[in-house]
Amino acid sequence: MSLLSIRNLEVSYAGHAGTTVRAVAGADIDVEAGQIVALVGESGCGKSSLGKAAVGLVPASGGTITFAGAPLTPLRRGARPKAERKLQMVFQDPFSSLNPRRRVGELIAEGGQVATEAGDTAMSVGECLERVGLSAAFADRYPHQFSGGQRQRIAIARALAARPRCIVADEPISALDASAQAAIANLLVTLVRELDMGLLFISHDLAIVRTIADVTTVMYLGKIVESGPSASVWRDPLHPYTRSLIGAIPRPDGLGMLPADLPGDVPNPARPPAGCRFHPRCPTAIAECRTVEPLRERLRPERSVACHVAAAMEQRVRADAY
Amino acid sequence: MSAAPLVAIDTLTISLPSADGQRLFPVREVSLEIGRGDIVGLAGESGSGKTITALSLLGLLPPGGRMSGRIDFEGRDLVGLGPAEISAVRGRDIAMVFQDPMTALHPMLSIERQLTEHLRHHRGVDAKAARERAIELLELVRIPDAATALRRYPHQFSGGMRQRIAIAMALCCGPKLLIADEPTTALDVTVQAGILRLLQRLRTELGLSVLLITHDMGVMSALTDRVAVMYAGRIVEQGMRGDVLGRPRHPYTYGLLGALPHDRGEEMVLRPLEGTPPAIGALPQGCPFHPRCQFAQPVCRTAEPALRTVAPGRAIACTIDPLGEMAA
Repeated sequence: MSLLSIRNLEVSYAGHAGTTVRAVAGADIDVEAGQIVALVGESGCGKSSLGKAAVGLVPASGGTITFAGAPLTPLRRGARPKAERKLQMVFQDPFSSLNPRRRVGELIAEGGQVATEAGDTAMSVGECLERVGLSAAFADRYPHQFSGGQRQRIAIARALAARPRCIVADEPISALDASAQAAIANLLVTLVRELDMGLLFISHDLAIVRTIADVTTVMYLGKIVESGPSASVWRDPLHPYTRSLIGAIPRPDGLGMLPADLPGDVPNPARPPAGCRFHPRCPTAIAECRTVEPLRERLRPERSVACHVAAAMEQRVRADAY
Repeated sequence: MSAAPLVAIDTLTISLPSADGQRLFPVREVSLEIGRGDIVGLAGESGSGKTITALSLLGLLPPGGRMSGRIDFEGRDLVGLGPAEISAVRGRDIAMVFQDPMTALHPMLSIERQLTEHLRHHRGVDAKAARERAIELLELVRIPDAATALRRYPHQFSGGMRQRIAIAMALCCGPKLLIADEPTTALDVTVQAGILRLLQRLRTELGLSVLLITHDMGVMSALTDRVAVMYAGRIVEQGMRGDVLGRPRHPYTYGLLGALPHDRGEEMVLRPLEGTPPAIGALPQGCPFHPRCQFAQPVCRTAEPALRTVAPGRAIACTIDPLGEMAA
């Protein structure tokens, strides 16, 4: 059993006029200790809803979330069950996730309080700051005295205070300048390796994901369409949507190549297309794609894809091999 | 460049009043040319002076802002123009699109109203002709079913479609120069690719010149002909896109590109550029980049290097030029 195990997760919201919007429509994800699992997709694909449900910030309307062997319960008014405090979250915008009127030391100590209440020893404020590459002397300052990158370090330090076994980070670097992005990405890798934590890294930036994540999981309109080791997914994407995402990344090589575009927008999740949800935008869709929803299957060791065409191609390749 | 450029910015310096009565210089001695049909990129981290340089072309400086130098636009110097004169240029000859299309679009007004307003104001066109032009513009930026789209409101469109509408709005008076300030930063990569293709097509079809401001070197690489990199208010490297991005010669450009994910065999590494840009009121002595520069020598702490030509069409502001051999 994985450290964080999500099975057939569904998250629904009430839409207009009594409709239900299934933001997450059945998703499986596993995060092991010491592993970085990335969840990528366009805005509106449900990746943030999945992240919030994973830590209990929004209730799941279906499926199960297991953390360290025990089922995770959604947050209620009362105190969070002790075992679940080892699962922490880092948000996108360090300008809104840190209370501007409190000192950095207080903010971090508060993060540690959830550990001490559970009978655990919190990581000291000084150690938290040093782990994220800041001086322990910064504890007396206020968030506004720091740059965006430094604030995100503080937000990470606060999550560390509870000695988490797993962190869910929702777009933790996308509000930062490119140079700060690289520094925070490297910091997360170091922390995961040194503290043997799991990290679910939610991002729309495939290029960064490829450099830091062990496993890349691609989501489209509430469903996971492809998953596998990052290097392998990048080198040889099997799902046409993953191919489009990778092809759309402009390369900073000075060659002046326009990236390939993917026409159309993510459809309204209240009325997902029949069959494969990607078929209206898919360059390789066949008749079957319009009617039959593809299931995610393991096509190669460690690689799984939900695509009729990719499955047929793999079968042919295997048949040719004999 | 053979013909006279559309815009020639010459030693532009911008000063702003600071809280303690001093004057700050967010832009210092910037010179930049934009030819007709050229796409010129302005790169740099937040606070490097990119946006304020662009806003000066529209006469939109913050209160108390002053400019010196020249901005030659089709033979006129924009620096000396009064409010009424610059207002006739703004939106008509030079237009701008922003990062967030909702800053340009009014949420309570129909697309038709927003697209026809400028035409009627700047060109004195009647309602019917303005409507026809608005449909034409929406078709130009590939908004499906343009006639219906006119009756709709901004919230009924996706982020990418809204940015297309904001571009259509910027184009309605037939500007010669479009300033695009981080036009795709808020969008998904798939949508971004569509907007980049649109800007490229507008340049080809309309002969539009574009000043593209972005910190995304991938976007820079996809679209521009020439690139200028700014740091602490000055241009530190300038040249053809392929040279600047492919063989960066200023240590800052080199650092910015190194911070991006690169294909380097199997192992992927990110080499962040350490530190943060200096505040404009507290520039370090000597080269403003020296505290972050991995190549810095003692000489870099004493004198601020001027921008100098190091190869045809290529200039850097670096005394020691440590990457010169590699780039040549």
